[in-house]
Order: sequence, then C-alpha cells, then structure tokens
Amino acid sequence: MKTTAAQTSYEAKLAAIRASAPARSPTVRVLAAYAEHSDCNLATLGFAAGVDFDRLLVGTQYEAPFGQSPFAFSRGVAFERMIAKHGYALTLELLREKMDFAVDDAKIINLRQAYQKNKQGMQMRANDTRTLIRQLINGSPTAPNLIDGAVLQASIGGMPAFFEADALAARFGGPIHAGEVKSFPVVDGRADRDKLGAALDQVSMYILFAKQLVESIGANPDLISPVALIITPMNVSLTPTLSIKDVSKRIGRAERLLAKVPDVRKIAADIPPDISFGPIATPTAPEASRADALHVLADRVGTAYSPSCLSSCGNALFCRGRAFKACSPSLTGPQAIRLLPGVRSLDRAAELTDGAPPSINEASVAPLLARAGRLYDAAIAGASPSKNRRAG
Amino acid sequence: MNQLDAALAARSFRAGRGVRSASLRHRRLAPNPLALVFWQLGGEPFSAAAIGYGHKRQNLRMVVAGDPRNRDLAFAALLKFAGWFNQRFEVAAGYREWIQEEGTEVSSNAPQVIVANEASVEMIGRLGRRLAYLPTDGPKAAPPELIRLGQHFLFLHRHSRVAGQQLVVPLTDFLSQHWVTPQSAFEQQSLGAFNSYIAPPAGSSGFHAAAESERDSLGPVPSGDDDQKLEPLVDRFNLRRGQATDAVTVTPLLIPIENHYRPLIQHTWTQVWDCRDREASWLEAPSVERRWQSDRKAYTQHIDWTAKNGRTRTRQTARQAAVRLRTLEDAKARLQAEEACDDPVKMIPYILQNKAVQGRVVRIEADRRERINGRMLRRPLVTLLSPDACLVPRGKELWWTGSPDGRSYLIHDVQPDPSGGCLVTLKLTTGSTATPLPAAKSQACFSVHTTTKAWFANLPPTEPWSHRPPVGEPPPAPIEGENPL
Repeated sequence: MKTTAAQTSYEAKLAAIRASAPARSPTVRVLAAYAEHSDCNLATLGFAAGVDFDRLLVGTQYEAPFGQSPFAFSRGVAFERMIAKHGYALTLELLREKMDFAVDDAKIINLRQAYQKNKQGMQMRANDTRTLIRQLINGSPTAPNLIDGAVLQASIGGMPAFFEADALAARFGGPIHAGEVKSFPVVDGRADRDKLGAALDQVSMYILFAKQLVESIGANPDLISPVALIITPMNVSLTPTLSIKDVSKRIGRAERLLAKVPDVRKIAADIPPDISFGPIATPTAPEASRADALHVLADRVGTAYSPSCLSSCGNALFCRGRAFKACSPSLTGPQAIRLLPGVRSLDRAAELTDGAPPSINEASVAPLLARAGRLYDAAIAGASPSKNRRAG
Repeated sequence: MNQLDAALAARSFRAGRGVRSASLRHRRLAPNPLALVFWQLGGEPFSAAAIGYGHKRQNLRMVVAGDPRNRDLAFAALLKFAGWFNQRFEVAAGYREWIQEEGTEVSSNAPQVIVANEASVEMIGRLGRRLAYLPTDGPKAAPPELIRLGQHFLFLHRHSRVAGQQLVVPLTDFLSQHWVTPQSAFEQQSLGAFNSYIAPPAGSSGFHAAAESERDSLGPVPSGDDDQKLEPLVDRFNLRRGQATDAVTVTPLLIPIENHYRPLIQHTWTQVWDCRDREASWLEAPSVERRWQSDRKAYTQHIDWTAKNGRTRTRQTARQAAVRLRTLEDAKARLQAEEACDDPVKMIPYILQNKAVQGRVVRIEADRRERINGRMLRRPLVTLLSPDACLVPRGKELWWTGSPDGRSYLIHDVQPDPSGGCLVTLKLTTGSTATPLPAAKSQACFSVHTTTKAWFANLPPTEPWSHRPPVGEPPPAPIEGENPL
C-alpha cells in the first residue's frame, strides 16, 4: 500500500485527536467490542482514532474494572504451550481424529518466532502468510499443513490493520480452515454460550480475512472453509479437544459489521480541529478537569449509553453517570426504553404512574402507567416486614 | 421486564432506593441455612481457592487451598469442607413422614444452601462435576466424602434450574423476585450493588451507593486486582513448600493466603446475612409450603439414590431430556400461577396484559340454570364491576384466585358501566354446590392462572426414530463363514 500525501494528512489528524491518550490498534476483540456500540459517536471517534478507552480514564472514579487475573493469563499460556509441545503432537492427533488429516499431513510452520514484535514484524508475517497460502493453493509439496500464528492483513474503515489468527490448517488437497485456541472448558460437549460465541465470532473474522487474501491472490475464496476449528480443554482437565462448527452465518455477520465501520478518512475530515482526547488522558491533571473535558467532548459528539456497554466499553461508568444525571430510561436498558415510549426521563415516568396529565408524546403509554401505579398502590397498601413470620 | 417493572423502576429511580415488587416473601428462608462463599482463581473454573461456610452468622469457618491448581492441595481443602457439609446436608434425610399427595415417604425437613449470586451456583455445579465422577479405586482413588460432596453439589446445581425451588437460594435471584431497581439485569448480578440500591445507607442515594459497592467482587470470580495481590503470595507459598502437600508442612505456610482471603470472605459473608435477615422478616406466601414439599421430595429422592450408589449421567438420554423439560416447564407455570394468586402485586402485570380481571362483586346468581344437552343444569353467574375497561374476550376460561385449583369460569358477558368501568359477568363451569363462590360486595380477581396439576400423556415405551442415537454400520459378514448351506 503506497503512502500518499492524503493518507499522511488524515493520519496526522487522527494522531492529533488521540494526542497523549493511550493507543491501541484494532484487534478482532476491539472490533467485536466496537460492534456492540457502533451507534455511539464517541465510541466511533475513539475507534477511528485508535484510542484505548479501557485505559483512558485510569486514575479516576470511572476507571474500567477490566483488570485481568494473572492466573487466567497463565492458564491460557500454559494451555497454548501444551498443545504446541512435541511438535504439536496433540494438535495433529486431534486433526487426524476429527478432520481426517493423513499421518504425513504434518508440516508445521510457526510464524510467532523469529519476527520482531512491531508493525514491521507483523508486515513480514503477513507477507509470509500470503506466500504460504499461495503454496497451499497451488498444491506445492513444501506447503504447510498448519500455520501457527498466521497474520492476515485487512482494511478497517480504510485503514490497514493486522490480525493474528491462532492457526490456519489444511490437509493435503483439502480446504483451508481457520482455528482458534481458547482456554475455557467444554464440559460434556457443552461450552459457556457467551465465550463460545465470542470465539466463533473471532474465527469468522479470520475466515473472512483469509477469503479476502485468497481472492487477492486470484484464487477461489471458497478454498477457505466456513467450518471453524476451536481447540479447548475438555471437561475439568487441560486435555485438549477439538470442536468443529460451521460458522457461515457468523461470517456473513462479520462482513456486515466490517461494512458498517465508518470510513476513517471521512471522520478525520469531519471532526473540528480542536477536538482531542489529550486533556482527558493526562494522568497528572485533577480528576474533575479530566472528567469535565470528557463531558465537553461527549456533549459535542454525542453518546448512546446502554447497560451492555458495561461489559465492553472502558467509558461505560462515565456514560452511566451521565445517563443517571439525565434521568434517562437507558439506565435501565433497552427494554425500559421500549416500555416507556415518548417518555423522556425516569422521573417523568414516575410522575405518570401517579396520574400526572400526559403530554401528546406520552399519551400512548400514560394510561397504562397510571393504571399500573393505581393498582400497585392499592395492592401494596399495608404490606410491610412483619415479625410474626412463619417458622422455616 | 413488564409494564409494571418499568413503572416501578421509574418510581425506584425517583425514590433513590428499591421498590417492592411483591407484598409477601415467595421463597422459604430456613432458620439455619448452610451459607457458602466461594473464591476461585481467575481462569481456574474447577477448583475452589477459598471457601467460607457456616450455618449462623456468628460462626464463619473458612478453608483455603493455598494453590488450588495442585490437585492434592485443592482436594485437601475440599475434604475438610466436605466433612462439615456432607453431615449437615444429609442429616435431614433421617426423619421421614408419609405424604398422601406424593404417595411416598418424604424427609420431614430439607437443608437449604444460601449463596450470594447465580455465579456461585454455577461454581457449585462445576465443583460437583469435577468431584462426583472421581475414581474410587486405582492409584488416584479419591476419598468417598469428596465424591459424595460432588454428588450433592451436582444435585443442587441441577435442582437450581427448577423455578421456585428453595434448596439453593442465590440471593441476587431472590432479590430480583421481590424488588425492583432501575439497574439492568447485568448490574443486579452483583449482590453488593443490588443490595445497596435497595437499601442505601442513610444520606446516600441508591445509585451512588451501588456504584460504590460494585467495585468489590463478592466471589467466586475474583477481580483482577485481587488476584494480582494474591499471585506473589501463591508464588512464595509454592517456593517454600517445595513439592510437599502434607498438612503438617503446608498448614503454617497458608497463613498469608488466609489473610488475603479473610477480609474478602468476611465482606461477602456480612452482605449475605444482612440481606437474608432483612428478607426473612417479610411474611411468607401461602404456597411456599407446597413448593417446599416438592423440594423435600426431590431431596429425599437424591439422598436415596446416592445411598444406593446411584450415578447420574453427564449427558441425558432423549427420554431424560423430555421428562426434564416437562418438569421445568411445569414448575415454571405453577410458580407463576401460585405467586400471582398469592400476591395481588404479582397479579398486576397480568391485569395490565388483559390476562386477568378484577373488581367488586356486584351480583351473584347462585341458582341460575341453563339448558345443556337437553337438561337444565346449575351454572352460577358472578358479576364484577371492574374500574377499568375489560379487554378479555368472551368465552375465555379464567380461574378465581380464591380457588385457583378449582373449576374454571368463562367470561359470559361484558357491558360498559356508566361509571367508566365495565360489568364483567363470569359463568362457573360446574353445577356442584361444593364449589365455593366469591362473596357479594367483596373484591375478587379472575385470571388465566390455575394451580391444578396439568395432565400429561405418558411417553412412548420406546424412543421414536427421530430421538434414537445413530446406529453404526452392521459388522461385515465373516469371510470364512459357517457352512454356506
């Protein structure tokens, strides 16, 4: 990708918006988190400028509680090390057993070692992945059956980005599969729904990028299989097991999600020059002034708080505080918004339950709220904790 | 969330504290429950790093594994806990009484386990899964107490899915049955935050009190910060013990790790008992007794099954799954019906959804007769004056909340009333004079809820082809067969 003057100018502008704020490059996790609140302008701006929201408010009362346990980290590392032990013996065994790999389908290339851990290293790994995939497609006898740590390059909102897939695997002459190693357990054939869903979404994204890569080589993208491979510990031990799942629908969703990512260039062009995350991220500044700076920014670009932000956005506690100040029904969640159409605040909804005269916007829901309030007052009258409870 | 919840969330927001969504207490809270507090290491789902336990607020005991990633250390801690738990869990099964409706002998009491949150119930399930299937012989034979603990835990986890059960009570779940706050379901999973919003300290609003409380994890999954403080302690512990796992060497080395967990467990412990004691002071709903009886039956069956060395499958058969689904759905429907019929507040959502009608009884025609199949039969009519318009359609089958297990009524007629409400006439579907009728001029409510046990067809004796596991290819005929003639 050649660097043009236009590209440097928008990159410089985004860097100015980010200023001293902690940076992060888009990974599949960051993309998935962003997908959950792509309707939030502040999140979009932060995503485009590469601001790490999880660390933006460190040192304030709004700091995100996303600290990772060192034990969780070491378990993941131990598991990955275990399946790579003895020349990936356990992994190959699983591939033979469940994916019909032949005994001599055992050429492995590890792209995690011998590269620098920076942008240049990633670029080199991406180039090597491309070469290896081409060998695979051409049926070259030197082609690998398993690429550990393949790097796929993709364009996110017009910006080039690198994604590190745990594994790409193919038996000789067969389709190429994307695989992911996770340390959550699959117990009696069942896994935690949320964790499995996140892992499958992640693999779908890799499959999509791999398809784009194959297409750019000039081959048929259907050579990349829509069947995802997930290696996890089985039951209560660390013995690895392989789960196979067709993720065609999730690939379609990943494609729509990527299409929804706004063009970074357009955002950079539209943002007024004085907008910057710098004053918010300054750890030496007083907490109140950092929060005020973020309030000003949030007022200018707009936010869209929902309780689901709490598990995926580093600014969620800040936005929840704003929703509380505004008495917004979004504090309770999307269901409350749906049940209170046209009511601007929770305070107002409480007035309507007391039978306050409704405005035109509130007319549809006001009778129901007033009736609910009246029935409740009648039913709850006299109920109170009492001492003469029945013995248990 | 329903229309009433939205209204109450708004009122709760305005008041800055929790609002009751029930006028009674719909779960049994036993006087001496087995309270359990769990902590695991982040990312180590199948072992307990620390357990706090006790059946009274004053005597909290605690056991710490040291490094639960070591099987011997983890099992040593669990064994100590199992010695306390198994005995208390099993003791109630020794006293039986005959229950006519169940047609069997049932324990006259049952143990109750209380935990802080739904995640603790999941922890109980995971520990049970790990322990219940341990080998009893061979080089790695596990002590039988551990296996029994695992079986009890597996049972509790399985039973926790039955709606309205009271053998294991996660308090966050309990609170959400009885209180409404403007918090989302996700935030209410933190017992500290939910509890603080319901009853914030004097001078503080629920929102701020909850934001303060949710920073502390109440277990079993630790916060990242807590584990970061723990990691050097565990490293030093492992360094000092070398390979040793015997109690004599390990016990003195555990002290720093115990000191790490003690305040965490104590904090959860206080929250659990504060919450439990406050809720226990509410009057218990009448149908709790019926559900407690079915809990006792499930408990008795479990104890008898394990006493016979009975095992539990990890993967259900098609038949088990069908029966299980029926049990769960039946329990849920009965729970909804019983709660709504017990408690006028729980009935409100159904009135708002036009699944129930309530009002003052203005007329009773107890001796009215109508021609049915050529005979004149008694079919009493009850007329209600409902203050609101009634959108329940004619012919709809409803039950009087005064006898929800009795015969149904049909909506016979609905007429507008000049007062703005409407007159709803209901027809009793039996002529029996033994069936009670609401009293004239009293308030009465008729709803879709009935607590009669639904009738189910028996399952076919063999599984239909759609539910049979695939049968493998038949083995090929022997090459050198018997005499071909």
